[in-house]
Amino acid sequence: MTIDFKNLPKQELFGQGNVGCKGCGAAIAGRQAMKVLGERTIITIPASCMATLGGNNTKTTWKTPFYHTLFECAPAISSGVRAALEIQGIKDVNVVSWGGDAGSADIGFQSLTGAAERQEHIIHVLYDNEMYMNTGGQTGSQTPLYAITSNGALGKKVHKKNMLAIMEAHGIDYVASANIAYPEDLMNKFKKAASKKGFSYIHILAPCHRGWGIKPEETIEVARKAVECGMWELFEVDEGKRTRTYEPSFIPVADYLKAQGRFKNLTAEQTAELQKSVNKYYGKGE
Amino acid sequence: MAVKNLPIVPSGDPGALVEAANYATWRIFRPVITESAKVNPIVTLYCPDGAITVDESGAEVNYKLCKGCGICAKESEGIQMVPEYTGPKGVF
Repeated sequence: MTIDFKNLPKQELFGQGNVGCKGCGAAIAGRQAMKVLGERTIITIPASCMATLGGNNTKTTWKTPFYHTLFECAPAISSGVRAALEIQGIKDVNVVSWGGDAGSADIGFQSLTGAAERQEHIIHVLYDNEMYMNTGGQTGSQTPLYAITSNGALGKKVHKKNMLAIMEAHGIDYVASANIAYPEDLMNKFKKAASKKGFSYIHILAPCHRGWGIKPEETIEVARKAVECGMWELFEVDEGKRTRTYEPSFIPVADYLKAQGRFKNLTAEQTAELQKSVNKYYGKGE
Repeated sequence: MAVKNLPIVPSGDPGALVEAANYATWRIFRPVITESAKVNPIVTLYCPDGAITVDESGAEVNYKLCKGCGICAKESEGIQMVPEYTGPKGVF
């Protein structure tokens, strides 16, 4: 880790006094991103934990303008905000839509794919807790295989939808995956995305200790294990050029899965099957 | 009706929650800095609440913001989680 802590902005644009659970992964992701995006940022948030985290009534934790959009249209509203800024000739503002996995991959997907297709000059962030956590942890398209959720006691039967590949296929300027346990990597990716003139998409894995069945203090540890075992790849696609930004150490996937309550019913065969598919993906044999 | 005659909608200052926050009642354990020099500055980015600051003068925890999740104590040396309640146990 080589973060220049001396030059890191001291100002807390988001996070202090947020009303999230203790050990909230989404709040960590937001804080790390806002250190890079800075004061000149306009945020739009669809219905998600992030929307409630900001506070209510006259109390807010955001120190930048933020707009709580309807569930399905955060990137569309960001597009409008950008158009309004352009017509006024304001050029130094980052427009960011910050959705959860439902607000980006499921309900919000139509406006996301529309904005990506139009190559709007915005950043879309998907903070991924792999469940619909704001409504009590239901199964969504980003829930991984075999994970137990509040409405799926037997575990999910199908694979997680590969949002990164879908967004890469749009041919947008910048696609990246990030993880809250690697702040340097995450902040570099936000820096790059902010410098682009077109659409950028960043997918952050942000564990939710309530839904994942872990202790609050293990949030960072489990996020790190997801990368180290190879199940969450850290990479970026910068104008078509794909690079892996972090080489994992390949701990057994069982270390990552067994740490979580949502995988407690996983059999030895299922773990071996997941290990096999990870090995195959990284070209390490069967 | 002219715009100037419209009622004023109550609105908060940006970051109004920061002054109002008091999460002392959320905590079961409280992080206490035992060795300031050993604290890894990375915890300032791992803390979800922005409650911990690390600079030249040392590390400091803002107990109004801290919810006691324990991430800092797990990720860095020099921080210990201490129970908030130390009175009699097993009454019920």
